[in-house]
Amino acid sequence: MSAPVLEVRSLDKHFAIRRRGGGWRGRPHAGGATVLRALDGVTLHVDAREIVGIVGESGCGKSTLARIICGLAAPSAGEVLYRGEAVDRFDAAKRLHYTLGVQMVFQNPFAALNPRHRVARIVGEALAAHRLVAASARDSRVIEQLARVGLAADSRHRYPHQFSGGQRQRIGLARALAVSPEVLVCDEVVSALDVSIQAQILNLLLDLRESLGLGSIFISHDLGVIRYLCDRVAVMYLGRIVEEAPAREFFAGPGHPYATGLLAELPTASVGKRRFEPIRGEIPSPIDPPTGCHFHPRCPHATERCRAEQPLLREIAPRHRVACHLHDRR
Amino acid sequence: MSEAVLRVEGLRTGFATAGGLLPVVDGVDFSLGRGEVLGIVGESGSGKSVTAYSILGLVESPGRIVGGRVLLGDVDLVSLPRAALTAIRGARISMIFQDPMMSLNPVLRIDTQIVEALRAHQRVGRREALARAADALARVGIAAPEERLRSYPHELSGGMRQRVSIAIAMLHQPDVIVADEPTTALDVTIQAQILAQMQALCASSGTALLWITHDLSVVGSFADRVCVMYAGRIVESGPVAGVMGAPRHPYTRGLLDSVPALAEAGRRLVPIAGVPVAPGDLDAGCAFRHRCPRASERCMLAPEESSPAPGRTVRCHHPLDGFAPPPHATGKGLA
Repeated sequence: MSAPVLEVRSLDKHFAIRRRGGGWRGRPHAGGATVLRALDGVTLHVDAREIVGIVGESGCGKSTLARIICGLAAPSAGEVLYRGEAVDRFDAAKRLHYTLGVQMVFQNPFAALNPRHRVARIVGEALAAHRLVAASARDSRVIEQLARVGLAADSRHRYPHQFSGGQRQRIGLARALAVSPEVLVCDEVVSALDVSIQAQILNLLLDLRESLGLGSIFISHDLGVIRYLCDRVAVMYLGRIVEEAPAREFFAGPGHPYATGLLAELPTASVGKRRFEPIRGEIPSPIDPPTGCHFHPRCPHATERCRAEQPLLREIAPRHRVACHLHDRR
Repeated sequence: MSEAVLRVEGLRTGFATAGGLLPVVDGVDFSLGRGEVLGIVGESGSGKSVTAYSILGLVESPGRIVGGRVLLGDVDLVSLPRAALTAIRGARISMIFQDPMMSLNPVLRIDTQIVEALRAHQRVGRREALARAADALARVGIAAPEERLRSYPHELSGGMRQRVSIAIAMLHQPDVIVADEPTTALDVTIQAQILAQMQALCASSGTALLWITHDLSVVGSFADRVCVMYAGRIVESGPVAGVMGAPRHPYTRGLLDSVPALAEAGRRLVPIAGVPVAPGDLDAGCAFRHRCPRASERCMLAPEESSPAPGRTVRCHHPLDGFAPPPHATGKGLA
């Protein structure tokens, strides 16, 4: 079997932070630094034509993971592999190939586009910087990208502020597609959009997968969106992947109590008042996460073992992996 | 339905611009019964938040209310003098905002803020006020309330801060709470906790809730009735089960077909074509006709509100019959 187009293995990402009441104006405090473990042993892969959804709440590390995958941040440990090769050992030519091959689309289309540049420059800038097409062909290449995302050719003469949120997100997509990537990393790209516009963008992403064969990582807190779009789902909680499964199996029966709780919040087509039975408690601080299984203080099934011992991801069905001690009893 | 505690009649709010007055809320009518949860659903720019702000007299210049009445009991809040309005706000009608970091004062401790809100409307001693503040926090599900009272807002999580705003809004057991996207900024599990808490609190105190949101799926499982807003008008209203189960307005149908969580597995979403019309470009016709698959020549004229079933209203020349399977929006809207 060929290597996945993109893979991460045992990624750790630690941020050194100062304790409250620490040193003055950024100077280190005698007490030393505390470590925030944003990612803790994350392993994941994406195949071509596959959309992998990552779902989790604030502080679970999903955006940090996206940044590392795109090369915008370096992991503290573990490695990122592009077409089976570790990216930190790439020479300049291969690194460029990887940098262009993995493109990111950002959450906030208002902040991600330079307000002083016209769309033609925003979409064409990478083409020019890396001399990917001749200057004479650049304009037609930009028009082609805009057409792909459903924008008119004359949009290229306008500035970002002249577009609505959904249109700006299309411009962000056109920019990412301009360099012919193999993997698209989408970090909450539809969260800021109205539902009717959100549906347009989701369908566009599905069409692009069909026409370009892109692999995608799609980060969202919205399980409804993930169910609609993704082939495979990974659930993150406080820096760890707690469950990973093909979407169909996941939505039919998640294995982790946290995933079960998340899924219970998903609205259903049936209407009428219902009792909410929320997961109790707050999301703990990632600076000082609970021992053992990070989820145990909020888990209705927690035992002594969950407090002491970290559960590892294990297969409970083919390709369905869950990190929970409950599955040991079977 | 029990007697209405809040009636909004013909509310119109506009914003003064160089090009004249922009109508953002354009003739909105609804009423809210005691203990009822009414959802107002709309997308960005539909006028739902301005409606909320208008009810409480919080619209700031260049915006102003240009017509209509907001009746709380039999008092019209629109024509009420400032001082009288201040006496009512916070006591009989209160508001919860989207971002509790904006509505709580960042340099005052929680106890100061709750005691201030309490003493604004009641004469209570400091010791009693503090006890009631702790009690209010406990009721919204905050653990160790005495300790939390001494915290500053930044020391609390987003969910906890929103609980504090809810506690303040509930202090005087008002008749009506207006909540503007109160759970939008929160994580999913915390959102569910807050919804559960609001449900229980309103049921036990008989407080009516006006729930402003863009999230149709929350309304479906939480509200009694729903009003759908588009371009400053209510285009459809009725009991939740009716409106969401068998919508009459093509816009409501389009919204429902756009929500991934509500879509049948494997079926492609049917987004609404195009984008909303800017308030400055509105004309006399139906504001949705440019995006509507059912639009015709008649839609150049403003549709009147009609009642297709008891308790339901719809503002459309070509309403859906309420039984047909969802139309797949292939037709282009009429320009």
